[in-house]
Amino acid sequence: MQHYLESELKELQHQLLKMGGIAENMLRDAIQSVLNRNEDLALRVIAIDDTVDKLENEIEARCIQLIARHQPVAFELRYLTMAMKVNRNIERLADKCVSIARRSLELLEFPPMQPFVDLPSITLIIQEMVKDALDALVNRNAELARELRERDGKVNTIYEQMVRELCTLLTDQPQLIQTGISHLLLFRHLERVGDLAANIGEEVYYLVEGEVIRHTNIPR
Amino acid sequence: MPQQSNLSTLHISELNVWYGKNQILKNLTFDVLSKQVTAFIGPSNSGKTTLVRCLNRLNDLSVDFRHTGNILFKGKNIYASKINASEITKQIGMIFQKPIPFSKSIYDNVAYGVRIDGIKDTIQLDDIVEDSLRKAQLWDEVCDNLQSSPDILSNGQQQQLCVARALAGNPEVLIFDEPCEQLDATETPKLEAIVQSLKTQYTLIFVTNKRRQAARVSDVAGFLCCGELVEFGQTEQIFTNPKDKRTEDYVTGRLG
Amino acid sequence: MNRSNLLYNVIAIVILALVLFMFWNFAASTSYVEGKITSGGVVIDTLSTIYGYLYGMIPICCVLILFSLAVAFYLEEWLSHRSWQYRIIERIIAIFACIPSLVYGLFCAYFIVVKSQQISYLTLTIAVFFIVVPVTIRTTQQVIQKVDLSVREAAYALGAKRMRVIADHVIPNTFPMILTGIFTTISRVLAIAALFIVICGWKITESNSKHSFDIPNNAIVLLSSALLFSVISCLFEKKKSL
Ligand SMILES: Nc1ncnc2c1ncn2[C@@H]1O[C@H](COP(=O)(O)OP(=O)(O)OP(=O)(O)O)[C@@H](O)[C@H]1O
Ligand SMILES: [Mg+2]
Repeated sequence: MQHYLESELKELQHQLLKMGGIAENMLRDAIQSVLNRNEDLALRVIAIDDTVDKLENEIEARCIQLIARHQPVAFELRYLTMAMKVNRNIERLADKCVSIARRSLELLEFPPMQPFVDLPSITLIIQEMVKDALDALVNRNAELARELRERDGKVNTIYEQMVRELCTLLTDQPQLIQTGISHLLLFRHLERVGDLAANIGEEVYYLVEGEVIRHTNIPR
Repeated sequence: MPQQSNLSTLHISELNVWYGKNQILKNLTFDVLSKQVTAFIGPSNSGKTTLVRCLNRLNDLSVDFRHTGNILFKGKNIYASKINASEITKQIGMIFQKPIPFSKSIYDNVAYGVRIDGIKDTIQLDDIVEDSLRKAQLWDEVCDNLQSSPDILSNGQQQQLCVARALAGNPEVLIFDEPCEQLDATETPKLEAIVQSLKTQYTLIFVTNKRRQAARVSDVAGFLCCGELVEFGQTEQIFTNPKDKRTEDYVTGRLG
Repeated sequence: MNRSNLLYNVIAIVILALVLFMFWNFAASTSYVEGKITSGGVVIDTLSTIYGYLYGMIPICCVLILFSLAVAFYLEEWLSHRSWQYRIIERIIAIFACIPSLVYGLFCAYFIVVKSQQISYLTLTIAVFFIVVPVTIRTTQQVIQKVDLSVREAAYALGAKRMRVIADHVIPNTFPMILTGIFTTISRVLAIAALFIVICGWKITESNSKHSFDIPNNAIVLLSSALLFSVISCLFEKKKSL
């Protein structure tokens, strides 16, 4: 029955990538809405989230069904467990996008703050990371997948730097505390996106190499 | 995801079966939906074979077979007195545990059911034979020696031949009674693939005592235990969230 | 189950005893002419008359064989194996078939030649009936029972009717074995005929000293053809197993 399961797995991957693509678009729109102070984009992101949630349930049910029916072993087992975790991570990624969009709507109520120099670069990096995580999944590219963790380390550094910058800013101008907190949350969400992309990378690495690299010498 | 179709090909209600004084099946009620694979699993001697043999009236051959309840095939009671048993067996084909090729040539084996219908036209026969062998995915292997005896075929191929022979009679329902029992590990997936491919055109009933096989091939599954239909439902549900404790024990391998 | 089988055996034995008793009476009541074998009152004093009778038995023998085949098929294919008719017939035949044909031969030689000294087609037919019919039915039955039930079921599952299954599967699969049975039976009959001739010849020689006792030659012809037929039957058996 190998043949039959193979085609099922292909279909599953197709669904996963579809969901990943939606999440990628959501991330782009959310970031654009932050950078350009665009309300429509933010609302659109929030609206799309339902689709992703539905897809997540669908994929999860499908994975469970395939495991129950085929009781797979070896690569197929790794694939299905990976698919379940990647599925979960993409859904959380989409949730983060929604959170980013919410912060973006919040920020619209305040006058713009002075621009953070690192904001464009961190958004660029995390978008790249999400794209590469999905690419690694398509191409079963273990190297690319592993490398995501290193980039996540970089994101963390930038995030910490931005938090410090925000801190100094707020000590100087305590009246901006409200928008400052929104920004802080926003940065946190962006950093989390990087983590999720790295998680996806770890799962893909496990799929290809059969080796768990989670929690092993995390670059910080 | 199996498509839920409302078309029920076989409707069984309150079926009780006795052999002599032994009650083998107890009050079974279920529907077999068309164009789906319905699997029956259960431990040995749970009455799986008895059940499927009721559906095509093969049990009429057993001397002290007795039943109550209704079996409707496309709305008609198959045990109604005006219905001829061979009409029913024609429309509900069966593949047995053991491959049973007749001691005739491969061609004559496949053409057997068609010839019973009185079709003698060679061109028509050739067409049917080729078509059936293709559906059973055996054509490429035997097309050069259709006139030789089935003894040259492997066990799995003989079983495929039996599938082709059953298909040639153009049945609507096809019953597989533990068809892989005598096949080896490489031949089993092939037969399962054939079952999958036949699903689009036929209503299939698949009896097996290998739960994993039932999980792989079926859309709907029923668990028989000691003559009772303990649970009957979508395969995923049976294998991921069985409602009955006995089903749970069976599918997890703790029972039988 | 066991008790009912015993019952059927007892009934069969009773019937067997009755038949033998009637046979005895029938043979004993026929006319008795001292020192001569008569045929319907005509005195037989040459062996050639007896040969004539024996040749006359050939068609009767064939008819009896066909009859037994028909009975065997009827029993196996039409009669329900659980019915009391089947069981009783099956038992009787089994018991008759178990009796060595030599016993029948000696019985008929004793009654016809020694006791009644009268020969007729009827008595010969009765004798041949007991030699041929039970054994042929029995062997044919066993052969038919050997046809795999699964083959029949497979044919039925394809929509075949009973006659079709018999014609397509039972007969082709059993034919060689049935032939074996027939040839074995013929060889038995021939052997009994040889025995019969030896006894008759001895009787005739004894009563009529003009004839020399040259019967063994003829008997040997019969015996060797009996042997030939058994060899032929073995050939068929071989063919089946190949
Ligand atoms: N022709 C018959 N006459 C009497 N009893 C029978 C007959 N066929 C089956 N049985 C009995 O019916 C019961 C159920 O048998 P059945 O063959 O249906 O079980 P099964 O589930 O198919 O088992 P297996 O997995 O071994 O094939 C058994 O106890 C058997 O002894
Ligand atoms: Mg069975």
